[in-house]
Amino acid sequence: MKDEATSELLSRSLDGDLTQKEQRELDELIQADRSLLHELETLRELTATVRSFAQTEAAPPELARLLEPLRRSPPPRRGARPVFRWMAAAATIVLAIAVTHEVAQRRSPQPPIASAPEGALEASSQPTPSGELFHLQPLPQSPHAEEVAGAADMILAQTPVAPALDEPPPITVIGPLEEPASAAQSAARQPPPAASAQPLPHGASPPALVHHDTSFQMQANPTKRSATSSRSCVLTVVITDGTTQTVRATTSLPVGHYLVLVTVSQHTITGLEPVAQQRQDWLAEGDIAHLIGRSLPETADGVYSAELVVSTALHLD
Amino acid sequence: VTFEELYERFRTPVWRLARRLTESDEEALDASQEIFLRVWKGLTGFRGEAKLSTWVFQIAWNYLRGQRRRKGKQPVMVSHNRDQEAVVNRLPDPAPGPERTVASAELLSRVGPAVQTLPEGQRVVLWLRDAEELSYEQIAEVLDIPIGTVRSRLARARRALRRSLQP
Repeated sequence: MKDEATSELLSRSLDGDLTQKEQRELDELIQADRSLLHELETLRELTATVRSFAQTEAAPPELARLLEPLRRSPPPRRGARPVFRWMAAAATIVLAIAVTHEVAQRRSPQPPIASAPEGALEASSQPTPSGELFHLQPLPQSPHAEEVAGAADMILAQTPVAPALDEPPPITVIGPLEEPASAAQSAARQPPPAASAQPLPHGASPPALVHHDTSFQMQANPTKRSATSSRSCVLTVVITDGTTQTVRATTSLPVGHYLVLVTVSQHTITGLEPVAQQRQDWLAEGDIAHLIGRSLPETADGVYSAELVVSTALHLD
Repeated sequence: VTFEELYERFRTPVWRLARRLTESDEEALDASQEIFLRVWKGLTGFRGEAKLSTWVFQIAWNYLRGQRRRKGKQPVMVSHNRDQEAVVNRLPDPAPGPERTVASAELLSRVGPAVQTLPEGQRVVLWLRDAEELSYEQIAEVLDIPIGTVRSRLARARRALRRSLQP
C-alpha cells in the first residue's frame, strides 16, 4: 500500500489541488510505479460514483410540509448589532454632555477672564492724543480662551456616530382602545367635505365638538417573531385481537419509530420499557415518563408490544 | 435572498448531509427541519461575508455535530433506512455521457452504506467534496479545521472507501 503522502498526492491531484512542483513529484512517482496510475483512475471513478449516488437522493416531500410555516413567513428581523448599540449609546452620552455644558455656559454670567489691571480705567489727567478722557488699556486674554469657548461648538458641529441600524424598530398601532364607533361617529371623524367649509350663518351656534379617545396601544417590534419546533408522539398499543389503542403526548425523543413494551394495569399504563438494544434510561431522557398513568380504557391488564411514533411540527410565535 | 430561494436550492444538499450524518431517514428529516429553522432565524443576519453554501453547510454541520454528541444519550430507534432499499429503483435511466464512467447500479447501491462506515470526520469531508463539490477552502471553513486537515482526511476517506467497495 502506498504511503500516506503519496495517497494524499493522488487524492489532491483529482481535485487539481497540486502545485506544479507537487505535480512533477507525482508524475515521477507514477513513472517509477505504474500501479499508481491505476490507483488514480480507481479513485477518479470512486469520486464519480459518490457524486452519482448523491444525485439519486432527494429531500423527501415531508420536509416541504414540515417547513411550510417558515416558507410562508418572513424571517425575524434583527436589531442593531450589540457593538453598534454601544457606539450609539456612547455617542448619545457625549452629545448630551456637550449640549448640557454649552447651555450651562450660556445661561450663567461669564466671569471675567482676568481682572483689569489696576488703573486701567482711571481718568487720565491728560487727554490722550486722540482727545479721549480715558486711557483704555486692552484686557489681557487667555491664550486658550477661544479654544474653550469654541469646544462645544466644535463638538456640536461634528457629525455624531450614526448607529448602524438595519432598520428602525417598527411600531405598530393596534388601537384605538374604544368601543366600535357608530356610523355617525365614523362619519364625524371624516374630514368635512370642501363644500361644507363655509362660515356659519349669523347667530347659529357651532356644532358640539366630538371628543374621541385617542389613546392607543402600541406594540414595539411586532415582527420579531420566533419559531420553535416541538415533537409529539403517538403511542400505539397493539392489542392481541388486532385492535389498537393510541395515546398522544409530547416528547424530546428524536423523530422516528420506537418499539416499546407497555404494561397495562387497571386500564392504565403502569410501565413503559424499550425493547432490547435500547438504553434503559431513555424513558426519562426522552421525557416519556408522563405517558405512565395515562388511561387505556379498552385495554385489559397485560404487557403489550407497542410502537411509539414521534413526529415533529414547527410553531411560529 | 429569500428563505424560499434558499430552501429550493439547499433542501436536497441539506437533507443529503443530514442523511449521511444520521442513522435513519426520520432522523435526517428531523435534523433537516431544525437546520432550516436555524437558517430561517439567521437569514436576516447573513451579510454575505461567506458564500451562501458555506453558511448553510456551516449551520448544518454545527447542528448535526451537536446532535451526534448527544446521540449517546438517545435510544436506538427502529429505522426505515432507504439505503437498504434498492438504489437501482431510484436511479435515472442510464444514458451515455460523461457520467457513464460511473460504475454499475450494483456499485451505487453499496456506496451509501460504505460511506456510512467511515469515521464521521472523514465522512463529512468526503461528502462535502465529492457529493456537494465544495472547495477545500469552503470545507475548511464549514468544519472550522485547517485546510491541511481537509486534504489528509479526504485522502484517507477516499482510500478507505475504495477498500470497502472493492469486490
